[in-house]
Amino acid sequence: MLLFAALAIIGIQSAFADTRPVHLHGIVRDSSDATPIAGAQVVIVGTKNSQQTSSDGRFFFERLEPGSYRLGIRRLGYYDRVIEIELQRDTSITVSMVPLSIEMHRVVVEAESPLARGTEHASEQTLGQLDRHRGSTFADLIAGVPSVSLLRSGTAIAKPVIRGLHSQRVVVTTDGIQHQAQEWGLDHAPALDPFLPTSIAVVSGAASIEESYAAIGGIVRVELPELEYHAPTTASAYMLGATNNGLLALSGTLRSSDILVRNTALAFQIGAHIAGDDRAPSYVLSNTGSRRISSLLRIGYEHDQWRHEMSYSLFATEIGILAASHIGNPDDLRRAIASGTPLVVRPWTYTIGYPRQEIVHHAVQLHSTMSSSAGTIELLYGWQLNDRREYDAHNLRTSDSTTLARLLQQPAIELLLASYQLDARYRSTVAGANTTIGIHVLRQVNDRSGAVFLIPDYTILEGGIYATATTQLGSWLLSAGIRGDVHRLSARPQNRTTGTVTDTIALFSGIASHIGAEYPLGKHSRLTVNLASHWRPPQPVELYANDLHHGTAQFEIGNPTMRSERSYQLDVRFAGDAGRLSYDVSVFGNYMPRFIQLLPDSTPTVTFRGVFPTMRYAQRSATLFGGDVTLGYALTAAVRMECRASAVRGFDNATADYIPFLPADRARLALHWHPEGIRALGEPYIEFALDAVRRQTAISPTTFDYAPPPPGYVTANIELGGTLTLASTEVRFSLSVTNLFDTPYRDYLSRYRYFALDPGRNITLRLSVPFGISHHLSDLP
Amino acid sequence: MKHPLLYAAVIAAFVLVGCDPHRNDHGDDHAVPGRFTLRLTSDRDTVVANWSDLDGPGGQAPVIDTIALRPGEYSGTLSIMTTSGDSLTPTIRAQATEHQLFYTVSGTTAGVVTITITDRDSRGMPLGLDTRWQVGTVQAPLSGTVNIKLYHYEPNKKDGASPSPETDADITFPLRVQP
Repeated sequence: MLLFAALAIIGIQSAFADTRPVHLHGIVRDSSDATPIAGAQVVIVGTKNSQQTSSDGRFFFERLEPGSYRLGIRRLGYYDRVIEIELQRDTSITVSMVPLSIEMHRVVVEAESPLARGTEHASEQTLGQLDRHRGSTFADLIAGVPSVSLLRSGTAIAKPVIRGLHSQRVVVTTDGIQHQAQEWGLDHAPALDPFLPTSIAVVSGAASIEESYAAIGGIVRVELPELEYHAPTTASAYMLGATNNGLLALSGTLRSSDILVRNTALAFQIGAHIAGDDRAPSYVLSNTGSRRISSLLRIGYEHDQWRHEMSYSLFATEIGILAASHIGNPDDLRRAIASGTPLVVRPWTYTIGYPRQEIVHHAVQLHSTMSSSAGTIELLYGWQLNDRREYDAHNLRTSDSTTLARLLQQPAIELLLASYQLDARYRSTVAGANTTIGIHVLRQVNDRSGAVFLIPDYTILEGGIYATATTQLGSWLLSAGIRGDVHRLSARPQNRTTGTVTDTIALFSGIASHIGAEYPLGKHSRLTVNLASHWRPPQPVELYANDLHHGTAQFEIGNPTMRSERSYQLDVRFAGDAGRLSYDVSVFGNYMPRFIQLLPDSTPTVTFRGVFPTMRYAQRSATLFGGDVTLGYALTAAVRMECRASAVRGFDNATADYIPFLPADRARLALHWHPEGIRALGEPYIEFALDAVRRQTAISPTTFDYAPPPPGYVTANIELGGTLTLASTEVRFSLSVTNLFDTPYRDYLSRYRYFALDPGRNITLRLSVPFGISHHLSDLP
Repeated sequence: MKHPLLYAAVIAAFVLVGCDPHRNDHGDDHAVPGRFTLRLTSDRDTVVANWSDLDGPGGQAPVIDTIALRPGEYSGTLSIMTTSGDSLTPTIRAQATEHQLFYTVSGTTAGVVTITITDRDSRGMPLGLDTRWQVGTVQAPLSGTVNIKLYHYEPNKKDGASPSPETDADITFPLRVQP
């Protein structure tokens, strides 16, 4: 309201005098991918008036006299720019800066300061890159990171796999708080919306210990829209349409500041998505549709040295499970595999039938920071409620048909997971080193209801303390961190023979640590070595499962005597550029003396549904190792080639058998053309890529699997995009075709590979439209 | 906000004593088929065989009776009870167009025992709760198995002969034929 009143007053004033001061605000973007550029120097030529752009690329000059100005913009790694500007009223501008070397994906991403960045092996996905990949799931956003593969159940459910590890071994954080969903299930994807993140960093292996002691595979750090204080009101819309499954998605974001109360800021996002059945090259993948709504509200207040921010986010989705994958017993599965095509195919529809999942995730976060010359105190409180309901297609449970109809309306299984987390950190500079000390407290309550005994009711209490430091010693950048945590699990597992429920308490504790060193080799490259030891307590499912797992057609039995899993890992990375060539090579080893896995038992389980293989959780010593290579080469100033390859191997140290279900070797070859001289389009690009996946041959004869790994495959993908200026708004668009030739294939990590092919060709159109609302408002008479 | 420690303490209290949501346990009646009773009667014998797993899948292994038959003709009826003692037979009969039972005799009894379905659904397709068992003459005792599968069909997919992709039940009885 104050804003409107102020604008009205400015409007009245301007009616009387033309010399009222005007404001100039703007954003500086990378011309190659429209990413905002932080830390660029913006100067009004001929004055001392100069600014650095904020973390989201914005600058703001207040109270300028109307007239002509020259702006100079300079940033390391970009060509300098000077622009002429005629200021008669409040104006907002976008400045594109051309990078000195045009790279498709910036291989080495520099944060503002190496001290803040640390030595971790992090791959950052910037806003521009994220905007090109928004679509069905959160995990698709990071699928381009070399160390990441996806464990899929159709297009609507995807879990990130980092260097062969997933679920509880990969920690996902949103704005510093660990995302708490039901990660243990192979068909349980993170409850995060793909339209919200403004940046994602993937830490591959040997991670810092600040967020968690359990990041054995790595960390996915997600940043949601940040607040902008004292900034003009802006809005943006993102639209998406895809042909394969009829996906339609819409998301809108509004940011403002100083509404009603000075020193406040607000961000609001709302989005929705609807998708029908996926289509494989020759048939419909029936009942794979999905629906989703998501929303984020964040408000903040700055006061003296304090900044308080509160956010609430909602994620609600309904996902169909492939009808043909609904089976009763191993015989059904063998018949489905023998058939080669899905045994249930219905006409294409948006309707989601049974079986299906419904997930609602609420998250409230309070974030307070106090900055002073002595350092920064950060308090983070997070509350999350994850409500997962899984519905059966059909079951035989009662004689009464009305009761049966009622039972089918209810979930066969419902899991309600409430998490309360507090992290307090103190960051300061001690003897030139960036240091952090912190405490962490978590309480988590799982309430299970329904007919499945894979996971019991439980309560977790957890507490820990940690310290990290990063310092520059000569040319060396050094990081180190250590933390100690205690994890208490009280659970109520049921004895399947007697039917009695016993209260059990298990206590786990451990030390996690990380050290890393980075050394520049020449001017444009660096060598980084990270060593880390993480641990994680066994999960309730690994301790107490005792039921048929229909999704895997196995009888799974937990082992309550298991101890914590421990990992010792090493990551060596060499990255940089030399002339036209850029390179990023990394190798890793991960030794886990008590690796938890499901191993086949020789005695099958006889049930009324037939005979199922029995699988038991067990701890074995295991080693994973592998590497990723990315090479980029500028063929001409406008054409760039990129090749990428990654491989992971895992062994049981006692038997030398391969660890099953690791991602197959993959490679990607891409050509990126950045044509110049097209007037109608800003920053146009065309990218053609071939993605090749080998057959997984690293499997042991002892591995229990219903079908052998599927053959390797190659898919072709093409994408073009750029910006179009429509009604003085820069609309960013991209049109992509994945699986261009409608190649039939099955991925080894697809959980539907036994039943059906992966989806075929998909054409996606993406539009991103920014609006500068206050600019238009100030134009009002 | 002058006292960060106080602030932290208040939030810590939230962590430790947050109110825990709890849903009423719905569907926790996790009854599943627990007992299959096959009753076979001829003019001189009545044979009752049970396949029972009253604690559900896992836990104790199922207890399975042997079906002992003599040459002749038996009429059979199958009844199915849940683990909580509720009869499922009327449900299957009511949803007869979506279910069918298949009987398969294996082992040396395969050519000796012939099982025919005698009941029909509303579309005239076989159901399989009622059967006729013809047992041929044998010189010496024979043993084998009889496997009973209950398939669940999508509406209008049942053709009387093909299995469905989804098995509701799959149990096996030992079978003995005496001279």
